[in-house]
Amino acid sequence: MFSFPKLTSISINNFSLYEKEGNIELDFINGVFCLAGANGLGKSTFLNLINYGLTGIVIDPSKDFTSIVSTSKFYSLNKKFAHKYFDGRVNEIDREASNIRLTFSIGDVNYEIQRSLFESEELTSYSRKIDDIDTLTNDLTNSELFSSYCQHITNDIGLASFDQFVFLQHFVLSFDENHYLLFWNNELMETSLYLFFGVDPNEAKKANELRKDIKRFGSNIRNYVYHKNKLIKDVDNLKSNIASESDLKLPHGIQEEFEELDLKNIELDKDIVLSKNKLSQTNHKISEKSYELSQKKAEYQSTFDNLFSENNNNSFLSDPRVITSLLDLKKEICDDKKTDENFKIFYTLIKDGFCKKEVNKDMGFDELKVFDKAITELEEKIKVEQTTKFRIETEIKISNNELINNSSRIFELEKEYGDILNKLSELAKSDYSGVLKVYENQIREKSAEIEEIREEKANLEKEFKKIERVLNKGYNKAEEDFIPLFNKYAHNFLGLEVDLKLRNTSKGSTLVLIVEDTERSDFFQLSESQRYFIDIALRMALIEHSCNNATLLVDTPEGSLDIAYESRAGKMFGDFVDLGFNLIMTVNINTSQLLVELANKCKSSKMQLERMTEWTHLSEVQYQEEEKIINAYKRIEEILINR
Amino acid sequence: MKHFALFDVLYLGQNLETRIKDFSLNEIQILSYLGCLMSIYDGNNSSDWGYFFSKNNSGYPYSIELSNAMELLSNKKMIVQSSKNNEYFNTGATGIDFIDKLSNQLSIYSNRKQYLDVALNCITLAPFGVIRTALLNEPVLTSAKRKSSILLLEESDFATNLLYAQFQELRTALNNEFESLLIPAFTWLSGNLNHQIG
Repeated sequence: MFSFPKLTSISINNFSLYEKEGNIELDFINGVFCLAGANGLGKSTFLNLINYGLTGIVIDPSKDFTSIVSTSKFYSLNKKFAHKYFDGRVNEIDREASNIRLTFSIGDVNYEIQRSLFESEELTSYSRKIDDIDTLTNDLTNSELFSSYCQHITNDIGLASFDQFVFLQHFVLSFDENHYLLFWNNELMETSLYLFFGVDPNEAKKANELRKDIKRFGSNIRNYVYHKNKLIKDVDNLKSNIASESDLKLPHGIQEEFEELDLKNIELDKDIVLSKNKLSQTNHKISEKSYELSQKKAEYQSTFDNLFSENNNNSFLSDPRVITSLLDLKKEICDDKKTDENFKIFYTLIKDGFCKKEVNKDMGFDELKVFDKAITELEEKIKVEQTTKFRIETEIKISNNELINNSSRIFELEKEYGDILNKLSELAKSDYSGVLKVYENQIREKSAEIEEIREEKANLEKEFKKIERVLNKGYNKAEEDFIPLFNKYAHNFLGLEVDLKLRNTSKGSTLVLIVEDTERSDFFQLSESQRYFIDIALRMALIEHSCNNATLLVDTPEGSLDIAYESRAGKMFGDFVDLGFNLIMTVNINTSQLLVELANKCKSSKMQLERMTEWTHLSEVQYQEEEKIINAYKRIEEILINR
Repeated sequence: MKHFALFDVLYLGQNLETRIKDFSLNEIQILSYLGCLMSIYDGNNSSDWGYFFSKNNSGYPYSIELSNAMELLSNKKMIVQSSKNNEYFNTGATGIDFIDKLSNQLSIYSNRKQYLDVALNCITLAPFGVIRTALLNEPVLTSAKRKSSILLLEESDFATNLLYAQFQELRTALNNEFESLLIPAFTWLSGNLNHQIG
């Protein structure tokens, strides 16, 4: 089980954006802390400040985790951004003195940290107490204090490295203004799964690094192949230039060998083209026969069904002979004529055509035999074509190898008779042979490098598979507890049956969301607000499943929510807080039912509302409507105090 | 009605009868599922089996196709209720004649017969209840117990991947030495049983 920070207080000093309030000093109660404000007052900044305080970073939106993959690289690439982020929010005059102080607990360990907004890898003060006894040694520099903090918090949470904490704090324990969603981002989901489902944090780190390397090797292979192909094309162009610019001949015998090899290569090229045509014909035949086979199988099934078919009244009532006969009878009855003859005809028609008879099983079975024979023959033919396919593929491979061997002999001859090439190049007033040699060497080197990288990639994938199996086993064990937890939150919000499925693919493992028996792996299969709240539900379930305590940060979740879901969302948050977890959220103060439901459920003992409009100056429009804003605050505050 | 399902009911039914006098739908469901797993062990896809399995309320494998086939065969008197109770059946004379023809005169069933035979031979080595308990511990059924979705052996499901991995491990451990599938089958079932006891 992990224990994440439970925040108890925050102090934001000399932060110019919140100019009206001066320094912000807040104590967080157990439950929900709700910072309610209006557009543009700095709500998202408040959550970014908390995350900066805890981790020393603010996420740079241009450093996307999807392309970075590794938690350690993500951390190091994002270290510098906080500086830029706070530049526009702190005046020059406040710059030196601006800082943030946080107090929080992890289990029975109490932390107090303070850091400047412009020195992300230092702490200006740090204390870590257990039973009021300080565990730190004195006389540490600010950067030593920070290293010491990184080490302690990593151990106290139960992780293997500080960058893992940075990842989880930003992507699982926060739902920030960037709206990163685990369900629709494989890299985020996979990294989280390895940390939450029974994989040792050190192994999770290894899996994360392996995934990064596998991705990097894949992209390297693509680059190298592109360069190699370009080099081959350049060599071809160069050679054709040499040939066209000279009519010099090579010494006796060599010329013939060259020509012979050249001819052979032309033949081989032709053979390869022919074989490729044959291969495509064979593939065509295989698909044709496979289609025929599926038809025969369907006919077999239908004949089989006929063996057991019942007479049915629909076919009787819609038979034209029956209708004509009945109309004849009706006419005779209505005209008061004798019906004996027509009745006899009708009787015979029914008796012979529609009465239940013992099915002639032998006849049906003989038909089955025909289809069975056809199926067996087709399967045999497909097998033969597949053998042909394999043979042609082998032939192509052999011809390709011969082509490579001939080319390398040509290369050797060129090497041996390089002086001729020099002459040719003199004639062409260019040093073609030297250039050619450089090119050929580069191609050889590239080929070797590609093979080397492929091998390394295959080895990494093998190693990765081992850890993936640990994840599968861990998830298998945890599934029984975890799915109901997720269901509790998600079902309460959506009102629909939801399920989860762990899926292993070459791109990574991910949890697939199933709503009412239909997979929703594409983001457009749910509305924006449904996606947001389902993802928050997943985070809550992960926290409840694997953490003793934690504080979840949520940035203005009600934005795109329609009225039907507002109170359900409020209830979902309330259920989470009821379990003893803390929630720090920012909202726009409006008529949303989300706040009303949450306030009703939590009351003042478990919910604290902070009026953010008192922190900074309002815009002209907001100022004109200030009364409405104040009334909205009052409404929630009344609900909180009323029993 | 899938003809493979009808074949399986008659083939398993008739063979069960020679071993334990009569047969029930539950026994047919369990043994055909085991047959399907043997086909997968032998390198086929689960969809090659010809019909799908889901889990029933008690968590056991269940195919509606087998249930429909039983009902149809019973209506046609190809199988008849045994004297023991309503759940048990014997093969009727027309049923014996029909399965004899399907089994001996058509090639379409020759592959699946070997997998069904393995399933049938397992119950000569251990009681049916033991085989059923062992099956309940295999990864797909274990995982299905906890899910609301009921379809078993879906290709991309992680539990199916776990099953494939188990089969791969077993093939490696047995070094692909055994021509008959019975030894791998029984070793695998015993492993599942030990897992439960452990």
